[in-house]
Amino acid sequence: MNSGVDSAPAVELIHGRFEEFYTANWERIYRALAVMLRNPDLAAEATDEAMTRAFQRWAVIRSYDNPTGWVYRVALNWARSRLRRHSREYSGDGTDSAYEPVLPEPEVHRAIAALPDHHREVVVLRYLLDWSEGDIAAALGVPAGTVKSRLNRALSRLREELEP
Amino acid sequence: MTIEDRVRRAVQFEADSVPYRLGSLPSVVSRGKRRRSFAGVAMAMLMLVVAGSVWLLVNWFSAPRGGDVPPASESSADFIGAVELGGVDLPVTGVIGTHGSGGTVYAGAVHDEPRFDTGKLGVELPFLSTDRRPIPAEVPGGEVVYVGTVSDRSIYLYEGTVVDGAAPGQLCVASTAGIAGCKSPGAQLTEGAGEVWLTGLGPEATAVMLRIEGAPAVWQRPVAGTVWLVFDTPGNADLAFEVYDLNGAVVSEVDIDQSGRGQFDVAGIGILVDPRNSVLTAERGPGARFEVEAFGAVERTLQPSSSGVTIPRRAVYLGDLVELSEPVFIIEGEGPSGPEICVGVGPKGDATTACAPTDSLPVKLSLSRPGSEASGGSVQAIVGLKAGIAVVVLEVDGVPVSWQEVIGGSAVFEVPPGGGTNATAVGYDMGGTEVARFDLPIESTDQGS
Repeated sequence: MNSGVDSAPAVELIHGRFEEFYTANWERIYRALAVMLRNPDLAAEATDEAMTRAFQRWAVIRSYDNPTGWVYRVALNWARSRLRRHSREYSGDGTDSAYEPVLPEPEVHRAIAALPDHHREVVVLRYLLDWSEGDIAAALGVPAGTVKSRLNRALSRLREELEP
Repeated sequence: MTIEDRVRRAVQFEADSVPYRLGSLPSVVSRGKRRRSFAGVAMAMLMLVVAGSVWLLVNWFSAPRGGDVPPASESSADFIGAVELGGVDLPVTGVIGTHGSGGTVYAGAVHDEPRFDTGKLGVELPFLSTDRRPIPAEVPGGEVVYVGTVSDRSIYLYEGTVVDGAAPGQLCVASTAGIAGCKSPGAQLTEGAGEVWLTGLGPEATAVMLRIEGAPAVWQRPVAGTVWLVFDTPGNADLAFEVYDLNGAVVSEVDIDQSGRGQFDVAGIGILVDPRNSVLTAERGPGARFEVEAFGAVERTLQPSSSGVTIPRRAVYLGDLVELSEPVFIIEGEGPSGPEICVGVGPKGDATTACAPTDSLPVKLSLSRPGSEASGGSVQAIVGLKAGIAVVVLEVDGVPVSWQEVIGGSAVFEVPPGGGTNATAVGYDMGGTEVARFDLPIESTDQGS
């Protein structure tokens, strides 16, 4: 119910803080999602969607320990949901044909790409965004122990493939 | 070099190779500050690119790229106008624009943010400047069967061929979060970022409860055989629906697995209309009135002064009664003899009003609509229910006839013409257990127990 009080300054303040958050995190989340999804277009759209939702609930989201984690999670869920609903839009394996990075160690890239989604996810968040296991756990909504075991299994598998 | 170092270098290298993009948000985020905001972002990103490695620059310019950076200037355009869908005008203020690679169009509003995916829905929403021409929006082959709000989201249900490849009879669901999809009568569950919807519910499905991690979380009445629930538990929560019939019995359970899919047998599509608007403003004092807003525009102005209650202390808009398509409201304020609570029904919310003192809750009210006396129909309301009652079933002469979600401690029913002589409201808690019964004498006004 509208109290009738002019809240423009408060709105400006919230907008200002959201813009700081947006500026600092949009590209990081976009790039992490692009690596995770192998689809920059979808990653950009998902990041926009999640940022929009974050803005709409910013008064709550800003109080979270890791708002970036919330945005990442929402974006990833949105992207996966989008892929399920509109699978025809994203032909083949969902990889953007324009996105074919040349890597100095292609075998490492291939090994990471071959990881199961939930393993690759923790690898990207840990080594690209430098999130702690606690931050990753909060963002993914799983226990910290689960993150730790996924990370260990992912690294073990990579070791087996890359350091025979 | 350790495996961790190699992995770190690989993912960072790959991330640096991702094509450059600019973020694009509806201007509700940066209204009035967009130019400065995105200029700053663009400058920061440009500096990052310049400061990057030579390899990155070489890769950046040499790698083939499709769907290049959408210019920020195309991401939005301010306008004030209206969207007309299926004969229903949706007043819109805010922005509209293309976005990303999918041709997504945003129709923004101050309080809401309906979004239409033109590529999927076939709705053309051309840019407007600041004039007030209606935006021609069509739903090819489809018919809008519902426009309203569920769970604080605006949803639009379409029947017909509205999506490429869709067959006649398909039901499409959209929300402020975008088009959820189209489906033949049946069930489809989609989970993501705390939203889940289920469509294709049969007429026997009277209420649906969502359990999150086994605990009852949200109740909702199906609208056009559809429930759309929004909740704040993103991620891997264990979700399940329980579908209840009019007798309060669980008729189906739908588990939602981690992929967001579920299985459900349906008998058909039932149409129930129960729009609800979540934005309501009030003025206090003599001549008080309150307004129901939808999409940032005043939808109805209600003037409770005609009820004799001049200073609303609390106003609850319950939406439109299913059978009446007329607004129902509840006002708590000061009446001639002290605190009173009133229930009103009518085009302006005050065509028919019944009031009672609030010194003992819950209050039970019965009122007749103009013209309903002869047919025996009446409106039954129970106001001031304690917090543990989530839903209420109306029984007339022992037969369940309607189910209402409790809103603001209140439930309002329409007893159909020729309905009977005794009404009983049966209250259920969040878990679906009967916890209370209230007799509602038809055609009388009294104060409850």
